[in-house]
Amino acid sequence: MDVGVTDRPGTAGLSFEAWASARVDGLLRFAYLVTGSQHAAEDAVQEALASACAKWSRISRTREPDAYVRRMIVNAHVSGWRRTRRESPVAEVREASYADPAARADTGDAVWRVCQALPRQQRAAVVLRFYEDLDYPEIAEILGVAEPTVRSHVHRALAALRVELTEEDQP
Amino acid sequence: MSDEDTGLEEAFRAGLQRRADDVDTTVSVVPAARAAVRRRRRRRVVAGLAATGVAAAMVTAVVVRDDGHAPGTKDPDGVAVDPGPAEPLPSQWRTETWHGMSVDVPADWGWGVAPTSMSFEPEEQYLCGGPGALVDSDGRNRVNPVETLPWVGRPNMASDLCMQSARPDARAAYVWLGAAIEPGTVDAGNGYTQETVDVAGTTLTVATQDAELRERIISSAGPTDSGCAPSLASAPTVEMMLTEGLRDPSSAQVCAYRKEEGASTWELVYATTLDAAQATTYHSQVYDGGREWAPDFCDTYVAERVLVTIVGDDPYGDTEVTQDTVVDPQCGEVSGSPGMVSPLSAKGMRAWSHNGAQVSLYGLIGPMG
Repeated sequence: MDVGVTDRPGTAGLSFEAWASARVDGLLRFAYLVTGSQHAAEDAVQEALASACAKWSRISRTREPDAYVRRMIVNAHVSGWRRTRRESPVAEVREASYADPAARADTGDAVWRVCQALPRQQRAAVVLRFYEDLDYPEIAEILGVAEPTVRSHVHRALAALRVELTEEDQP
Repeated sequence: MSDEDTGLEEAFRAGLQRRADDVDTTVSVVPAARAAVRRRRRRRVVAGLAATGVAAAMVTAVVVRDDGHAPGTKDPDGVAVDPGPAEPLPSQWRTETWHGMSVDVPADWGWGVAPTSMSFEPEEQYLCGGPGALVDSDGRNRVNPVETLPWVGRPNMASDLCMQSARPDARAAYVWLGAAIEPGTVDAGNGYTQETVDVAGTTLTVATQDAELRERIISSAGPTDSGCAPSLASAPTVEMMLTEGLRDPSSAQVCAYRKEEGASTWELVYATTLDAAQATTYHSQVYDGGREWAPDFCDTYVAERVLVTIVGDDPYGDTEVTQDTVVDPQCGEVSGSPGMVSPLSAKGMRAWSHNGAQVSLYGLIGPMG
């Protein structure tokens, strides 16, 4: 298993290159789960790292770089959506996700289908909770929402997965 | 937590990990990020050189902010000068929802109205109950709009006192959800710029003096992530009641719907999340016992229903459970179990609606005067 973004060494005194090189694999995986696209993940991570690099002297001293970059990635996903909103990205994702009926048989695929159908903030909450293993206050901090909202997002995602798996079980 | 929930969580962990393992991590993202930073810095310096020569360029390179915040102003010779510290962006935000769109706004903005048209004059746009905030961010209803208080407006009539909305004399920042305004940017007067964009099948209009704040708000907009369905084919109803109830409500999701005259669907017009205290009060008022229950809501002239989903704990376990309830805001009645409604106390009504719902639902706006 790859090391998640949160399993990190201390960052005090690290150069940007040293920190980023150690974190980039995890960040790409995290960004992929948030955005649902390899291309979008690369764009989001590159943009977030560029921002972190430009402010590294300040971030490395006074901020928690991992949380900062994760927040940037989530925000970049929102901004990226805005630039392409006329292309109806939600509809595209849903269409693609249900294109292969054979894939529905697998729980892992069911998880991915549920994730793709979730609104972007809910999806980010799910990824932060179940991939990054963050607790609710940490997720609320990153998403800039109240903790009950995060709990609600996660609860609804679990309910959606329950429904998805139930439908799969039905003949 | 039940075994089933544990299993679902484990399924999420395993499913996400499997997808993550397939990601191509061989791409050169770090060098690309480094190069992007170098290019941006070089562009800034080159721009300074072209405008004012080497000496001025050195000044420009020093004063331009690294984080791309507000651009510098120019002195009479065209040399970039430091505009001083930019107004910091708000640290507290809340999410506002209209139909299929959600957008983040500063948490201290109030609520009011957005332009709407009259049936007898469809080409004109009017603010009926504005400009300004009718309800403070803490839920206090001002009755009369406060023109200098930033607000989030929906295209409702909150008053029969209306004024044309096209006057360029903004006195406070605002966000209008779903206003019938063509995308584009206009001068709203007094240093305010109004920008309208299409988002998720509706419109978002933002007017601020601060370009960065406007960009921050617009860039946060997208398909609704409020947890509420943006549209329903029929009015929400309570399908299930927890036989053992729930304890210790931790939050509640409020999804308010309206079916416009002649429309076939119920559209989301307001959404918010109640905190534990509000959810506890609401829960206690819905299930306080000893009240008369009827099979249906009263007859009303406004088709509005509010789905309030209470989140709490299983009384006999650690599992988180939810209970749907549905409120008719005009009747002041609530359905807390399938096919049964009863009056909801003023305390219960206030618990879920002491917020922007007061000017988002005609059932709460009441007769206009």
